[in-house]
Amino acid sequence: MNDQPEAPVTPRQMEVDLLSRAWKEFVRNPLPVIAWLIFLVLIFLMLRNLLPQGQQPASYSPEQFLRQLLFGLAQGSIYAMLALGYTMVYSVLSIIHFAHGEVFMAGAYAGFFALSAAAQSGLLASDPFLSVLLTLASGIGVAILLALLMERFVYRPVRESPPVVSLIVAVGASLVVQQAFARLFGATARRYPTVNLLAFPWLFPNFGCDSTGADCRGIDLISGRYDVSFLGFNLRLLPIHAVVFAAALIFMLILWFYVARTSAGRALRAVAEDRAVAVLMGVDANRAIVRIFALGGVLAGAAGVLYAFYNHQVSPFVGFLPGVKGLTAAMLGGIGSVPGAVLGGLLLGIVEAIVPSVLGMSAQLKDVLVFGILVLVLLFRPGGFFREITAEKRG
Amino acid sequence: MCARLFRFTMLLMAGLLVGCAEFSSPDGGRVIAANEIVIGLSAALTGGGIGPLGVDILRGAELAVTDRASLQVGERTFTVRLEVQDDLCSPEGGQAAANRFVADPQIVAVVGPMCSSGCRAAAPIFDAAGYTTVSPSCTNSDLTSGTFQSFNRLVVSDGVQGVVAAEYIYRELGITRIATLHDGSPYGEDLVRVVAARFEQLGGVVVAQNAINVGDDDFRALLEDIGHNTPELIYFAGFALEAARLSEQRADARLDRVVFMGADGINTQDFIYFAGPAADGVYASASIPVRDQSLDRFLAGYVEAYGENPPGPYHANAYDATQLILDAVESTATLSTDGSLLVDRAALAAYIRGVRNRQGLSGAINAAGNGELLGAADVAIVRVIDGEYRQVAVGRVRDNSVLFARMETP
Amino acid sequence: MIDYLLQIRGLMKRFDGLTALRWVDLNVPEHTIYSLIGPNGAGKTTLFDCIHGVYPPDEGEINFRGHSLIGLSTDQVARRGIARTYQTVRLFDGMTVLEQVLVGMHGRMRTGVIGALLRTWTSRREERRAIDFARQLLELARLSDLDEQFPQVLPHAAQRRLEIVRALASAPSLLLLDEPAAGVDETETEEMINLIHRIRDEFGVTVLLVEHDMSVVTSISDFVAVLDYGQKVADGRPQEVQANPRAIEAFLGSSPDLQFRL
Repeated sequence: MNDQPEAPVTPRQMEVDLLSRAWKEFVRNPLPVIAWLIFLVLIFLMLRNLLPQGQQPASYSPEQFLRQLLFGLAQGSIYAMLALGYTMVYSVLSIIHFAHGEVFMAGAYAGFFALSAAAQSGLLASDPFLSVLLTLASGIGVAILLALLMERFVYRPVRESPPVVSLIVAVGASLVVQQAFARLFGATARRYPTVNLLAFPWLFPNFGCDSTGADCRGIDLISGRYDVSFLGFNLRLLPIHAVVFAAALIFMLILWFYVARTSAGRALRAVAEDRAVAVLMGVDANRAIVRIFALGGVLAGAAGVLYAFYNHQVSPFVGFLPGVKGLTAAMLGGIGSVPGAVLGGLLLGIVEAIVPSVLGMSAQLKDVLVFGILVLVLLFRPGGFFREITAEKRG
Repeated sequence: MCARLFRFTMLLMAGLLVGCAEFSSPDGGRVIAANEIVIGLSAALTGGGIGPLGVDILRGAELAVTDRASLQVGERTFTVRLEVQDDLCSPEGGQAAANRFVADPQIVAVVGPMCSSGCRAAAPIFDAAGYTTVSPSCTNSDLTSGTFQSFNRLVVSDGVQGVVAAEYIYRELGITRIATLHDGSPYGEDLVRVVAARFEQLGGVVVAQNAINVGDDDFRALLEDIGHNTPELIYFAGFALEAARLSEQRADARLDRVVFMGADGINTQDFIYFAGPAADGVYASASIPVRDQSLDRFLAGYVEAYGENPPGPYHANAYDATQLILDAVESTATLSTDGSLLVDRAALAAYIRGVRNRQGLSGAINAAGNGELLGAADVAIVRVIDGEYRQVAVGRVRDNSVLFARMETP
Repeated sequence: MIDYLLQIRGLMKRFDGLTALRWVDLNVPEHTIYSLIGPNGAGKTTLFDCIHGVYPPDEGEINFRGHSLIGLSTDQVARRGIARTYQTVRLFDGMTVLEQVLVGMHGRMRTGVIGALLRTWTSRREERRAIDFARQLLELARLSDLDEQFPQVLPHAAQRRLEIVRALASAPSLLLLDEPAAGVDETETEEMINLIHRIRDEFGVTVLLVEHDMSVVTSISDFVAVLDYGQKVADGRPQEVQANPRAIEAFLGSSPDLQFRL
């Protein structure tokens, strides 16, 4: 028999108890607390820049936001197109196609040679539309070729090996391609010729007029810049940005249609889910895999040429950073998901463009920010940021 | 089997350790050369935007060796040869090049490294080996603060270049609001610090300071941010590729009217090629020799030898650095009993740190004792006009004030 | 002499000293349902795997329509017209019931990527035909009104039936079914038997199946072979095999959880 009454719990004891439990929890798993602290600091920095300081206006204005948003969307579209390549290859083979950035670079390079040839032969001046088409075609063609060579000679031999093996092999392939291009075409960068592609005179009757004002040929899709006033905001719009953005969306739709609505797409999904069973049902798994690499090549080649149209410089190393960013975008969106890749790419571009200014931090920390976000997403939402939004309807 | 393999590995490692110890032993105090005098050259010969700077340096040194293909010591003649390493304009590249040079006891001294980051990383290695280096282009002002015994430079430090640039912007261009950008390299960071400090001292306002990453491609959002602070000029300390992107993307961020200015890092023909039409009106600077007959002759020889105008600003400095090293060898070397050449590294270093009143192509060489070899030198402000750099002014620092001689502009 | 669709002669397969198949002979006539029965580990699935090119037999011949299958890879065997289901259900989780069946037809479709993307007339006609045929198959499996569902929501027996018609979609002439009635209750087993009969009668497909449930086997099969410890101990018409003492011994001597209901 124990008649001793239990000691009443004083509020102070409860407090101590709670604190010690919180401390234990923190020691056990400090990540959430650290993440929240970082988050709060970021919020504080953001508010400081967004709110007016006494008499001074806020250091970050809505107009600035809108302008940076446009830049971010364009760059994000490039990332999105690359992310689609990573995501497709991953969903079928469960490997990280690390050399995808090199495919992008090869596309940009091939485009450079085509466009330079066009510029030298005078074709660019006489028929810019055809020149741009040829540039895109050669960029995409070479990118497909490189992607298929990689599939055949890099990824296929290690297809049955553990994923780590293919990742290491992919990193090696990436370096080999970079160095091969540097040896073949020189390590120094090249400059894309400036292209003036005037289009849609019926849509934009007051643009691209010659000195007399009589002959108007529409807007310059590639090198044009137009000042526009929109809802009281003064914006400078670059048609190439819209082109890149539209290209990313169109490619996403084509890809979605291909995967979801065509017989080849069904075969692809079958291979992705259960290669053995798909093969039993008469699906040619190799052909499906080759097709996915070719599609990735199309996207990367197009992205490479478009990128070079507005950033002008190409070098053997130009694919590395966009490649890594594209991979990051794919992971942010949940690797394996088509809409996730596009959303991830756009988000990444926008974050890069806006967040350093909003937080008032050095633009040098842009990449730190991007990869920091990736780490946080992988820690707290390993399936990707958009998992819930993009999850397909399933039972 | 296993035991034997283990013993083999241990022996191999021991051998390597002994070998390493030999390489880095301070007994590298003397160079013994049978027939050849080998001078090292460390510069970035590849890479977008920086390669041309290094090629220009290499050519300057080559011309010096052509002019002095052999050296008379006592009754013997020794041929002179350059041993070239690509230092990639990076800390790692500078270290790798330095390690190769100190592993080769034949190297009497080194011209280079090219970039301040490489100089800073390589200097401790050269210090430990007792080597002497003469850089034609490392301008970071901290390098001569007394830490490094091996480091010497035949170029005006950023302490001077930055001051001239800031004075030019404020006094000659009449600009009072600037934004500064650097590329994260020691060179860029230091130069921007000097420019900003002087500019504010003069009464100007630095409205924004930011930095970029080498290799980034889209600076539009950053420029938009800078534009928000309405600067009249963007001062960028970095190299040609990033500078080209920045100056080109100005227009996308509505900064067409904002002047773009760089320093010696973008004073290359390359920059003009990469920036395209956006290069027009861009300013740059470089420490330059006073134009005289010997320099004109040198330039004529350069064009004759390589078929083009110098792609970078440091050919004369590299020429002088090589000549200075050869002078040092000539006056400190002795012949051993068997007729081979003996160069005492310490004596060579002392000669270079003590050189006085010597006229080089790049100016008067007067060692300050801390590694600065160029005395009062001029800094040229150049501007892209019609697709090429033209000198628009020359600034000279005297007693902490700057005098400008303006060139007539066409 | 009857022409057999599938002929197996002296098949041997060893795994590290364990003999999984020992001199097995098997003759499967066309348009019949042929059952393999036997206790666990008797080598039935191994036999399927050998036929299907998963691994090569050590000795023996496998002839399909008079051509040897030895040395062919799985996909080559599949293209010769042999389809298969597994012991456990292996459906594609991310595809609707209809799509599962359409995948089976992919190998026979002619439209290329470009044609499909451009929606050419031929591609649309082909797609329409494929969908018609797929619906016919779903009708057969009584899954018509579930065609837009994902397989996870289907009852187990329906999943089994779906797997079978999916295999049928590639228009095989021989269908290998590995325990189609495993885990399926009695009324649904009836349905399964009916389905397999219709596959033989309406599609002219020969069925080779592995089954534990003797009642299924007797009601379904035209021929039965009994495997025990990798050896064929009996074969023939179901009634003959039921009367065969070696077959009975094979079952009585094995583990009691077997449903050997005579």
